[in-house]
Amino acid sequence: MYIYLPIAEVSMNIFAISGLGAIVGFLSGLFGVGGGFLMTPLLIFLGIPAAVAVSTEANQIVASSVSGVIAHWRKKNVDFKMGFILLIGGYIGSSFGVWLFAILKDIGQIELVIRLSYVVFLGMIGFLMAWESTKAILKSRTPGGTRGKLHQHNWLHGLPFKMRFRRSKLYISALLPLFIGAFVGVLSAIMGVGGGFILVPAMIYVLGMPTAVVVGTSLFQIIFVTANVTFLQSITTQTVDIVLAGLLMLGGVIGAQIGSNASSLLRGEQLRGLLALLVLAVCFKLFADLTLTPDDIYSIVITR
Amino acid sequence: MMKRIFILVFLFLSKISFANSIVADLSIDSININTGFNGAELFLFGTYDGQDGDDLFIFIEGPKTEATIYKKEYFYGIWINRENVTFKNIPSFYYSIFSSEKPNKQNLNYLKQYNLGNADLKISEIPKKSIKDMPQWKETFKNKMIKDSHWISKKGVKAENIEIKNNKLFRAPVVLPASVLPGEYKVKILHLRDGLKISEENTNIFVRKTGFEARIYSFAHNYSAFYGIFAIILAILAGYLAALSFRKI
Repeated sequence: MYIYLPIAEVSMNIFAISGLGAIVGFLSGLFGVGGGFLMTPLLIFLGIPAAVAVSTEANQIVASSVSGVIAHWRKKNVDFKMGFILLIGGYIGSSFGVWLFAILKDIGQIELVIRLSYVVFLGMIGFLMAWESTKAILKSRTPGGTRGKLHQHNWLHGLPFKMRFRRSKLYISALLPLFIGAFVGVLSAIMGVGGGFILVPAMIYVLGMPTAVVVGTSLFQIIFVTANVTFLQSITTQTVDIVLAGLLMLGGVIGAQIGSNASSLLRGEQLRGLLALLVLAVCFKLFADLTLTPDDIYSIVITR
Repeated sequence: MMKRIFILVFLFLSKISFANSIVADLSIDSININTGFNGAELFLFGTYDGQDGDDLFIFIEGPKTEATIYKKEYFYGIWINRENVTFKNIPSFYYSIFSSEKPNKQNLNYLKQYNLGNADLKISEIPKKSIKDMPQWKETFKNKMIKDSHWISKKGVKAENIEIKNNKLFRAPVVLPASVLPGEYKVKILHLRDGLKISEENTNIFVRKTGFEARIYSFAHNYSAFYGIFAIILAILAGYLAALSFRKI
């Protein structure tokens, strides 16, 4: 059964789209990851124009982050003050990102920049995850081992504009979360991701936030940043496809539900290893598309 | 079924047709791009008064548009788009059918004389900077349009090209891909004999976006700020509903 997507202007199998939403939703429910970093490249592989894939995915992440943040909100695991500073940075970064996106789209390089960013970031995450899970698997076989320091002081803590974040039990410069928010905002606009995969480690290792509030706070920030991307992409490039987003949301909700139930039944390290392999496979495919000699060195873009 | 309609139409048309002139019609004259749209197949059929050695030419030209051709180059290990040329006034879709694989030379001269049968005759580049090898770029562009099936040319009497009966009756299937642009598709049918035009018929097909899809498209383009806000509200609602249903289970 085919459906014509009004903004992407392609005809797609309705089950392929919602199935993809379900699979990525399942993975995100299982691992507690956002899934944008897998969804956008997979949409591109299916034949959705890269620009539409990125903007539409930003829209879908608004939905998945809202549903995620509610649970954390109930447990009071959201540091609103920190989230607010992060999202000011996020607004600046994502607005700059959408502006850059429009320019790159005009000069015909957006496809390349999206793919390259994915190769770099998926490669990094994939390797780190593979490394972590091999270490965890080896560690579970040899009990013991030392625990490193959670929170170290370095030059970053000497920056001005210090602020107290009660929920996170921190007294740090507001510039740090501002910069992190801005950097993730740019990625969000260019790659169509929430940016949790950068935000969460940055909040733990750079800001030194307690792990309990990290996920809730990052989701809170992601809602506003991806909403900003959705809005700005709608007015500058008109690449948000709500029909596509709706189908992905539908599949994603069902998938996430099954995934989060399954996560209690399955073993963590091995699965994390599998996710790492999947991420690396997607990265490799994108990398190969860029480096192998193309079938046709010419391509045509018809202006609508 | 199709054959019976074909014969009935033939009988009907042959009664009203004037001597020597083509009478043609389309099985559908307007195509709606709606939710289920995945391309369209239609038939162009009609009668003409032909003899052996005559040629029938059918040209279908889609709405004019702009197109940019990019050339990839190997650059520090990756293939990236470097040179590009934008052409204006090009047919987004061009479909030509020749009833013969080797048409009469004089008939071909007639086409040349009236600039018919070539999708690329009127294209011109949008001058951005001086581009070297313009004729070569045009040639590459034309070949790429043909390769990507935007421009299609078919020759000879075959079931998938055109069927002709007794030099009187013709029927040609036309497949419009899912990627067609909305607009007017001009259909021209020419009946030539030894370089002279016996008759000509012009008709058209309208392709338009209708219903839900059309409304979303125009909403996104004409009221983009509202569209953006609408998309966000929709996502928030969806997320909220998802969270509610999660809680129950």
